[in-house]
Amino acid sequence: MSRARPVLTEDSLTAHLRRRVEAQPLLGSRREDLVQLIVAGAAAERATSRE
Amino acid sequence: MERALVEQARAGDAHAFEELVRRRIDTVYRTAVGILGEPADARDATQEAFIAAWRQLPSLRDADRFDAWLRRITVNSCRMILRRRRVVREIAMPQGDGGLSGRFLPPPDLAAIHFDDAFEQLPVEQRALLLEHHLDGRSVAEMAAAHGVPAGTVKSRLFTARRALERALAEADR
Repeated sequence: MSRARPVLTEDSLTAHLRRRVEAQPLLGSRREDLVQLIVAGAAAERATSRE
Repeated sequence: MERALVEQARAGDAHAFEELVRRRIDTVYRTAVGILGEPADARDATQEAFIAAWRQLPSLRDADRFDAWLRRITVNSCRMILRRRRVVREIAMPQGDGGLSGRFLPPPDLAAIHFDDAFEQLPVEQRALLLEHHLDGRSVAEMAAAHGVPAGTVKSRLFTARRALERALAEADR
């Protein structure tokens, strides 16, 4: 006897995806550090491209 | 105002670019964490996506399409992170780790783990499409405009992604 396919409704798919994202921490206190890393990386790119 | 900011950044204005980063960093991170499922990887992908955006900004033709363009770059950064992650795991754990890598905490619930495992079998593009439509709530018409393809193409891609997810779930259920 074959197993029934798992039912993936619109609602359950959305709920799973929301849970998947919301289960992870937001950037929070790391946000500013990440902004600064990106800005520094962009500055390094500019310096490299000028050489 | 937003368009002006993109145009300034495209012309090489670092302050305008920083302002764009501040305005978009949470959206980019959310997309990356949805695709990758790991905060550390998502932060790396976010950083790489913005650096790539800065590098490629001069080639952005239409400033009004900045968000769709940035999303494509983010998806591409996620793909690169996944590729590197696979290589690192193959080198670090040639015997396999029983599926425990990156999951040191007890699972919150089995259905969630089951879904995440299936979702992570999908190619990055399919994960991004499902997140864009089912989590971010973008309509097929909005996605078609953003991706520059007909609505029917978006529908077909969504259908394929969903079937692939259902197959992966059924497979994991065996």
